[in-house]
Amino acid sequence: MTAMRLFTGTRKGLFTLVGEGDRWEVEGPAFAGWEVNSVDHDPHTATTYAAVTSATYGPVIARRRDGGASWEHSSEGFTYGDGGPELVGAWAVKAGRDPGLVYAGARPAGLFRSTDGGDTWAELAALRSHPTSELWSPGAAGLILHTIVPHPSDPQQLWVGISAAGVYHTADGGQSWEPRNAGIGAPWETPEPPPAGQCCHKVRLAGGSATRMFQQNHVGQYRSDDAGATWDPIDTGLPSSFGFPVAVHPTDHDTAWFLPLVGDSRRFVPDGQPAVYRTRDGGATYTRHVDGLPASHAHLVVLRDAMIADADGVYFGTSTGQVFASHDEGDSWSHAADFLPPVHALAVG
Amino acid sequence: MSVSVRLPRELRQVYELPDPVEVEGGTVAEVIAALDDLGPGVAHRLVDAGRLRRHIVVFVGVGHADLDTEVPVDGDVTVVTAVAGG
Repeated sequence: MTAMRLFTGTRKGLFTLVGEGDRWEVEGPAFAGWEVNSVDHDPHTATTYAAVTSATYGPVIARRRDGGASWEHSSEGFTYGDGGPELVGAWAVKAGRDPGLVYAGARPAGLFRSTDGGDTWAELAALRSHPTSELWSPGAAGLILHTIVPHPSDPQQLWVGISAAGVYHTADGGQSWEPRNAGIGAPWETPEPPPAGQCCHKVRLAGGSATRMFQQNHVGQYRSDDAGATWDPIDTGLPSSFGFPVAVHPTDHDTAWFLPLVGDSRRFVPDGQPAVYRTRDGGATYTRHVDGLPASHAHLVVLRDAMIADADGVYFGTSTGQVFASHDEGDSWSHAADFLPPVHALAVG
Repeated sequence: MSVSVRLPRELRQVYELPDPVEVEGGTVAEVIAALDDLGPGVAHRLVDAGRLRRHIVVFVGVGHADLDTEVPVDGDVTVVTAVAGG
């Protein structure tokens, strides 16, 4: 078995877990003391990107090419400019389909694009000036653009997730946007679902699909079969409608994993027992998986970017510094790391 | 004839700058621009949206300064960060 890398962004730096089977070594941290909210590895350019934020010095987008000795970072153009709001956080980074194309999400919420592999950045300003932006409001982490979903084949299409604004889609490379939140409420705003202002916690495109999406929202778990145009609840069989992450199978569009939390003010796993819920039928039914996970007194949180899946496994990291891995699609779990700072983001590379 | 700039250690380490940094500049903004020539990117660690970042404080001599504060020839500039965390 060849070694794999699990990039682990935490509240206090970026660690790399190097694993062979169930044996893991921890390397790092890079950016010690700085918050890492999102990591992405682009296999086409053999480059890893990280969204890194210093509470004092602001956000940067970091980059390391495979084989490179060290991390580089840049924030050139990663700003709303003189007179704009101060850009205080980097919350998402995602490589696009074309070499050198990278997107980054920020706090306060906005989307940036680099076409030179992260050397320089420019805002795709049509999103932040969308007429519905007056409906946006900050969540507990602020007003953040936390999720960027490139279309699998059309480079002009892109979805973003913003808390609390909802899901937005562009079909023209970011020149214009439309909210895609129909079917999801925002009861703190209005009794009837508004066009925007929803609190999307995480949204992912299902494996092998360009139209099916799964979403963990503040108010429930949802599925869309029309690229986000409409959403249907899929929370029957789950212990709670609240949670942050959703992970998707890389090729099977019916398979996804949720890790619900007790909402809304408690925000830890039910009964102090972490459990992963897997669906193999698009959210119609779920199976509960606890084998290898703490049996009790584990009042932990798994955040929006801290659960992922790829062809080799499913992984999640906790607010209490553990990383768990499963190599049987969630049936059983083992420790990959412990005693890390609170885990914010995972990426395989 | 230069301005002597004291930067927080973390920033000096990231941008590989000496302590103190000797640069030219007649205002705090010009001093920070000169720092950026030596350590590209360092200016954006201190300034965004046309003003000092919210947790950055600058002194010229012993006086609290802003970007347009004048810096005397042979003056001292000190960059201090807020202390917080957990």
